[in-house]
Amino acid sequence: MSMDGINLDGVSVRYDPNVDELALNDITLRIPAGQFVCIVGKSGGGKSTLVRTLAGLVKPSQGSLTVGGKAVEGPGEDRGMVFQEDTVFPWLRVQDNVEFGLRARSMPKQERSRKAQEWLAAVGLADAAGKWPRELSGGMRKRVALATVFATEPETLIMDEPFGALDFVTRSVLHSVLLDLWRQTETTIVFVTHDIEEALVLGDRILIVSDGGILADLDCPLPRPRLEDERSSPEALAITREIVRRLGLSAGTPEGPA
Amino acid sequence: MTGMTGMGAFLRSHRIGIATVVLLVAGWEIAAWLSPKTVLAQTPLVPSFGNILGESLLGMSDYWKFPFWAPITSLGGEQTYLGAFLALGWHTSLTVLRLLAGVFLGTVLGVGLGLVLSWSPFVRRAAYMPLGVMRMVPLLAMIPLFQFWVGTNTAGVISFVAMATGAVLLVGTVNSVSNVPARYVEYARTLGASRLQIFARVIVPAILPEMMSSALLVLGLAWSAVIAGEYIGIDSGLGRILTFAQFMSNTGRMALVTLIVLALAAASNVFVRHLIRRALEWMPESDRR
Repeated sequence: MSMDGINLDGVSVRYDPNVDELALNDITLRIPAGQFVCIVGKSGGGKSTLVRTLAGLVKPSQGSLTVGGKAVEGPGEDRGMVFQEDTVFPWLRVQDNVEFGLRARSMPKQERSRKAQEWLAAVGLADAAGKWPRELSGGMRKRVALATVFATEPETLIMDEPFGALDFVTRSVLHSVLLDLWRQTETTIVFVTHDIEEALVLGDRILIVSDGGILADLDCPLPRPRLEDERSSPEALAITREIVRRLGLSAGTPEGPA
Repeated sequence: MTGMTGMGAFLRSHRIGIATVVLLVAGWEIAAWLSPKTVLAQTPLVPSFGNILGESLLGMSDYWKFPFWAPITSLGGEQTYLGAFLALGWHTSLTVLRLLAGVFLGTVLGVGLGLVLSWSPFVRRAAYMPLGVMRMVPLLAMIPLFQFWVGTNTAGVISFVAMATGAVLLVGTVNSVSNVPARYVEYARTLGASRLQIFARVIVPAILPEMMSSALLVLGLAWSAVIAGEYIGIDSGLGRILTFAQFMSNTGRMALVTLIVLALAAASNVFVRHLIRRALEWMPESDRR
């Protein structure tokens, strides 16, 4: 078995040792390098715990986790993360925000300044370098977060509902920005969303996580770019229907919509 | 012209506040006119502004002890306004320098120790109770202890101010650090920052807004502490002039020193507010105080 990409082998997470409940229950999963994986599922089902474990912010209670062949002991330079909340540091100007991870890597000043400029340009914010985050809109701050994390050139990018708080138009624009960056960098991306449509636009593969386990592992081989036509093709509708059914939301199921 | 209209606008927008001040001053003057004299020094119980800015101000030349520029009254020299201003300048400078030294020391120790305590969750938990108790220790009750520990000298006053301000800043720092949103720390960790980098570039700036509101509190406290420290155990400074004024029941001098401290405290408050605005330039306007 190749050691590239992400390998989880029997990973369980228990937040409180005195409680039986498992946040993740015996997850075995392999994500090849370069794949764009979307994770959907109900809130509280373990999506966030799964990706926070990948990021090294949560320690597995059991099982083994390797990324790029290395065991995950904590956050690492090979992985980056974009959060749902606005995490852009308000006390640093945009340029200094983008340089944050590069400074942590002790990159010389000139080099990191040049690099930050490049990545700001790549997300369409070339003119915002000298601004304070408070002067930007929520969507622009997400671009800053993208530039910051991509500037560190992670092999794996973990995104926990990064665009959840944005309006539809802003989110659509950011999808194309993200897909462009993904194509250029060949980063492995694990992307949590509560929005099936978003998963269909972005993912090569869609995982449904529920009750701390992987309920379904679906391929999403729609042609890219996925514009209106591709998203309403019979294949796309079939995947949507499958996800809805697996989540227990289709009409006639005993539970009904949660 | 713009200066005049600016003045007019200021008077209009603050007319209630101005009227209140005028009424208070008038009330004080009426009280001064009605009040009896003190038994000992035959000074009015409530000194009029005429007394404060005349006789009492002139009397400040008693505190000029250098054999140059102005006569020394205790050696038979006459009271002069030059001597009064020299004396006030000298003693005010001493008080301000003690205040600055104490606040500086208190800030370095209080914030520094607060950050050190916040470094480890265990130490933070261990320090939680003692810090809560420390906040309740009455400040003035500590003066005699400080006299014994450090002595009735400038070092004693400075360390007393440092203790007063440092204790508040220590508790403030520990609280502010625990209020830093976890997401910033997690984000910094995933970006590869070390613990030291997280402290210097995330925690410290993140606690600034909360620390700035402590700063104004600490400034008021520092003025109280420096005057109280001088009042009790040192032979120079505004607090010492207060002590002498009390010995002689000289109410005019007490009021004069109080007015000077009030003016200095107000000026330092404006200055610190200005510094805060500069330091928190990055904050959204609506979140600033």
